[in-house]
Amino acid sequence: MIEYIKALSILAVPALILIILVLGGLKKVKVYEQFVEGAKEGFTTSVRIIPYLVAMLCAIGMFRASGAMDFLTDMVSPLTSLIGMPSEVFPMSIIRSLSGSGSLGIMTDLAKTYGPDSLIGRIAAVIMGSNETTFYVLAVYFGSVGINRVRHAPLSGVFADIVSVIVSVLLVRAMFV
Amino acid sequence: MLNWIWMGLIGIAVFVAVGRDIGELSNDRFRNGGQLTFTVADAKTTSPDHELLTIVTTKSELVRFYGEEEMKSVKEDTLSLPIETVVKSDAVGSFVGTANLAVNDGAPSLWKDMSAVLGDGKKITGKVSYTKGDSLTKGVLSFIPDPVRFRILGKVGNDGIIKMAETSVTLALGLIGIMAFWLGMMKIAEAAGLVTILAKLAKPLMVRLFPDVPPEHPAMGAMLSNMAANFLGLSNAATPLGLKAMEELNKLNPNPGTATNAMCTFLTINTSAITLVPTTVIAVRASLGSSNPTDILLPTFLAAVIALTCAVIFNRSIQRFFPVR
Repeated sequence: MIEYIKALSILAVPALILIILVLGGLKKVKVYEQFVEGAKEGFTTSVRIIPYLVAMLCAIGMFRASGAMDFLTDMVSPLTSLIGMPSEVFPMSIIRSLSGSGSLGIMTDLAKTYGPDSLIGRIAAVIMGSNETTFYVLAVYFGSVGINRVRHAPLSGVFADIVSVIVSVLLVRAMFV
Repeated sequence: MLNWIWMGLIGIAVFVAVGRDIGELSNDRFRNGGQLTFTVADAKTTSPDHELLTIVTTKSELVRFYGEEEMKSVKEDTLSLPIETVVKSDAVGSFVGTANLAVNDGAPSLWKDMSAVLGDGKKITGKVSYTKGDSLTKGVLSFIPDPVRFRILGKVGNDGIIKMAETSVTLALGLIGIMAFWLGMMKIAEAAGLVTILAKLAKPLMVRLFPDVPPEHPAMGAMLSNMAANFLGLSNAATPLGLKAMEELNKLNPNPGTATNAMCTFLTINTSAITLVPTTVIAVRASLGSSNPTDILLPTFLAAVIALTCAVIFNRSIQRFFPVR
């Protein structure tokens, strides 16, 4: 089972590119020009995140250098070890629901410190990719139509976040260890 | 919220660093100003004033100087380290000057901590004095390391601010190429009408997820387009569509100001967005030298699908406990 999933993972990228190109060809899209048009955004997007990365990576860097990170991870490790989560990922799983740029900074820091192909680096990447900034979405969407009584929406959102963190850990452990 | 977390991170970092530094100073962990005595095992004069010596010391001597606790990391009973000296003869025939004690793998971790402050993690700087007889070998050398103060605060400034600020920029610039590729691909997908195709595919499911919304209501279309855009990672397109969907859903809302079941379901789906290609994550992994940056695609996708399914079921089963008043 895991072997098939791994193979599928390798095939997914070329297959996706192929599907997009075939579809583009069928719909007579000027693929080259559209590609270049979209690729232009790569530069602006990358440059746009610099201030966010500086803000978050520096704060996390200071937190780590002071040794406070070690205290925190020691403190939560009994809790996180219940689901086999490395305690280093814990701050990431909390901030993911609060800020996209902030959690991108933490994910980057983890991948840099422990290596992008380490267990920690991979779990952080999967949490980053499989989650949304729940509280931001709730605030913006409900705010836009003046909803104050939000009922069970935050609870469901947080539930989704918790499930995705747990599943991320389990899947990465199953596939890459 | 994020403001508090950010300030908290920095505030706690400085607080912890100051606390640990004061602890180190009050315990005199580095024995600032204290004099270490070593036996010289080997000496080589590289130029008139410069000498390259090898000093020998024992673990028990270091324990006597620094205390048992700090020397736990030392495995060998005898330590031998190279030391570079720059000395001048004084009136009474002994030599005084400065020295760099090279810190190697076998050295105590305490010395490694000191070298991180004094010499890039490679050496401990300090003052040296010894008597040079016919041959230096077997002579005695005394070494006073330069004082180490506010080690952690220095580390916070160095590793935390200066290095990380630089890293952020090199990293972000490294993202450009791979980001450009995927954003280009997604642009083709958008132009080819993949959003409409996905919306059509998801429609039967949507009708069941939103029983309160008439199938042909504009809210349905807006929600479908929003989800399809999210699926393709077109966040710039997704947000306006999502806001449009909320506006349409609000038209069906009998109690303005209170969320409807459909809104809660929609936002639950939105807060666990499934993305086909998490572009930024892949780009970050690639720029940090991952051997296969896209190998997280499938687990990411599966985790999102499982989380979404669980959350939608959870959402549906708790909605009756949150009645509209």
